[in-house]
Amino acid sequence: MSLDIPSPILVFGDVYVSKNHIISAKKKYSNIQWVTKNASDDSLDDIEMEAYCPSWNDSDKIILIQDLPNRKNVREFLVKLASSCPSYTKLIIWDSNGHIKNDKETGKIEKTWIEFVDSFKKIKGSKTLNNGEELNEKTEKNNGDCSAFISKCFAKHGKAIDNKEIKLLISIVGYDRGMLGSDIEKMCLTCPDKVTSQFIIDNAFPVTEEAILYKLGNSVDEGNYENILNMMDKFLASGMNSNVMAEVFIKKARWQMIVAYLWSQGLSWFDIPNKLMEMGKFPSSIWHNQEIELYRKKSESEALQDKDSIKTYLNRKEGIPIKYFKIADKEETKAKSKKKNAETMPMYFMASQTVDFVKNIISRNGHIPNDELKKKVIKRSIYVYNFMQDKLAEIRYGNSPLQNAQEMAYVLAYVNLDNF
Amino acid sequence: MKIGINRKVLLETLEKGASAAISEDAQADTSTMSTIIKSVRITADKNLTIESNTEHMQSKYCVPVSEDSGIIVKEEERILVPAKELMDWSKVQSDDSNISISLQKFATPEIINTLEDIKASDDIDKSKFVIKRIGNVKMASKNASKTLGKWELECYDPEHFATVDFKQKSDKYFEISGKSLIEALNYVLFASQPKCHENCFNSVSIQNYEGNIYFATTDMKRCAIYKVPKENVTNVESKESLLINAVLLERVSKIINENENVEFRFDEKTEKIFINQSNLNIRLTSTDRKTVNKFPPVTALLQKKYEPLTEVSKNTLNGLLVNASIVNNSSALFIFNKADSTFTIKAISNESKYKPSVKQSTLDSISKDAKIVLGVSHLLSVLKVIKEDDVTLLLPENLNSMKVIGKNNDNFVYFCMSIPNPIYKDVKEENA
Repeated sequence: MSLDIPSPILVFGDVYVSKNHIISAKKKYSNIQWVTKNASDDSLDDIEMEAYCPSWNDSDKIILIQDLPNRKNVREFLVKLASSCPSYTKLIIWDSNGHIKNDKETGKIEKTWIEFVDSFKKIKGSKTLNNGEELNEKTEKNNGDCSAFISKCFAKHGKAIDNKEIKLLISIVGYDRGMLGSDIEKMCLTCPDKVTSQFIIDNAFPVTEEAILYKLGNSVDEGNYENILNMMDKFLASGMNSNVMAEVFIKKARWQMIVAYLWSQGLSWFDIPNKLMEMGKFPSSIWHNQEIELYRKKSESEALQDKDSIKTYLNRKEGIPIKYFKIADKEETKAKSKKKNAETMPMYFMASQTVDFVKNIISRNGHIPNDELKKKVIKRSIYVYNFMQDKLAEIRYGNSPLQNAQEMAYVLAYVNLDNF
Repeated sequence: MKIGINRKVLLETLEKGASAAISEDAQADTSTMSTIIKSVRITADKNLTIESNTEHMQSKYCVPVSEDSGIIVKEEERILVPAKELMDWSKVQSDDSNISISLQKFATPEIINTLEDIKASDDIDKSKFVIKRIGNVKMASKNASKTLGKWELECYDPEHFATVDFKQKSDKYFEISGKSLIEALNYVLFASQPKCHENCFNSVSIQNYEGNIYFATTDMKRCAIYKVPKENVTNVESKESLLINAVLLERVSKIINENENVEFRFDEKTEKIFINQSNLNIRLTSTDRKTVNKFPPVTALLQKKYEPLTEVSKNTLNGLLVNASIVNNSSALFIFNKADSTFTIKAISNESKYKPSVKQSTLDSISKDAKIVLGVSHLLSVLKVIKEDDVTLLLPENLNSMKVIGKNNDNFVYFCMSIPNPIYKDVKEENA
């Protein structure tokens, strides 16, 4: 019996995707004998013996060699083995450790492994299966690949997910396909046919501090003190300290104050989320320019992220003479680069949530006339923000951190405007 | 319950009856009901019955109660206690001691919820995850004059223990003497594969060929076959093969009584093997008929024509193999030279740290020139089970394998495949 699979095959790239390929191949060819060898631990002689030794019943077998070490002699051995493997042995070499990566500068496979991959490709009948880079960085391309991956994972379980929810999931879990895959598997057990934002917020496992902000911030936007306390308990149990939570609360209070201010200045509830999204972005001369359309702001600002472009822009558009610019020395640049960027609203839905909280929960008091309501809303937000600052200071001094954080949560959830 | 039992008798009964509960399988179990899986049920009435169950193995050992058997029952009752703890404690008591075991029941059983804080959905029957602790079992070891040691173990409700019907309808296959079964397994177990996802090559195949019962194991690179002497097998009632997990069968070989016949039965419907002796009942999980038949038939190998090549003492062959294994434990080139009766083993390694090694020995006679690459470890392992001092090596015409037998012993045959490893190609051509 001859198997209809090519041999030898080299599988590398994203470990999660590669693993899925191996699992489905094992399923598909489950009636064939699979022998798994570990190139890091098993002796090369043993792997060779396994590859050349025929079976009693003359049947084919599949040898899976995984866990490749970063050793030249092993690479040479594998190429030699792959090029002389007998026809009854189907050889699959899997870079299960993800050693074969692309160089960040050249975009090609790193020098250490390129010779191995090239030699492998020259073997007659060989196939290479490159499953792409691991998506652990936030780039436009990764965003696209990741979105497709998430849609596919949900679709596999008969669930649908929109772009907005995909972005939300990425922002909570990150770009790691292994993490995403396992989280989606878990969520699909209970999620509705159409995945909602709320479901993701409630069920996705946060892996970054930013993601924790979303989760805790979301509970603040519901204005339910008990829910916030429950969420705080969960985060405390998972090792987060009161200081981090206090910072989340203070950010939330700051954004609420901005919303209150913009509304009091006459901006409509509809326009405020867009305005929030523009805040803190560089360069402010574009983002706060009322004459530039929103859709143009993004593209124009992207072109001005390096120092030469911004210099030209400030000179030509704003009329600042070139002589006013100086080249900073290395030490100064280093010190400046350590500075944190201005705070921005990471995603549109978060801006909407904050606006909805101020609009629907704080300002819902129907009996107060509009002008007075605006004053009360802004007065509350300033009071809340100042309170938050004081409490943060207390927490940083180490004075009853948990109690102070809980008081911050209480005040954030306190929406009765009668006292203001 | 209140019983008095001789320590030696208790240990023997536990080794047999609690065999499933003290197995690695059971002890590594982390399921919600692992407490029960690790426990042994002891029933004291006219007999003392010890039972234990895991998913793959169930064992029951029964001893009649009498002073001669070293067991006295003062109060009849049933208990369910942790097997390994009971056994470990009994082992460290003094040799001549008698052990008294008594149950102290709680007025109200204690309920242990194995789900603890796990939130189970409402449609799950939560009563399945509850263990009732009915009391404590107190043990005391005594010799003629004084109490030597005391301990107590938790006792669970014996009703948690699923009773196995060892008398369920099944087809009788054959009976084999206990001694012969142990010997057969000692010969073949080493050649089975440690793991096989189909549960085929990690098993022992028992085949009936021309009225003889054969025990066979293979990892597809080698095959060990033992023919049970005809006089040791009786009541052969089926020509079908059996396939039994090698690890389970090894455990069986350690608890059976070698002086008594062992009955093998198989229920194809439930895929269960029943192994019975007068006081001992064992049920093992087997597999479906399709997988049983997937194991290569011994006929294919036994009918193949092999010509004797040479006879060599185990010591000589072992010395040559050990020397080769230092360089390459997996494969080596075996060169047989008829003209000067020399037998050479050359080992070459892919590991750059080892230079090739060559060792030669002169034999009494070699029937023909031959060069064949074989697994060094494959031959080293068979030398450990062959009891004879000399072994005979045989080759087929196409040199694709080697047959090894103990001199003048036709019951055990061992085959290992040749390995067409290109690393030895140059050496072969050089010699040619």
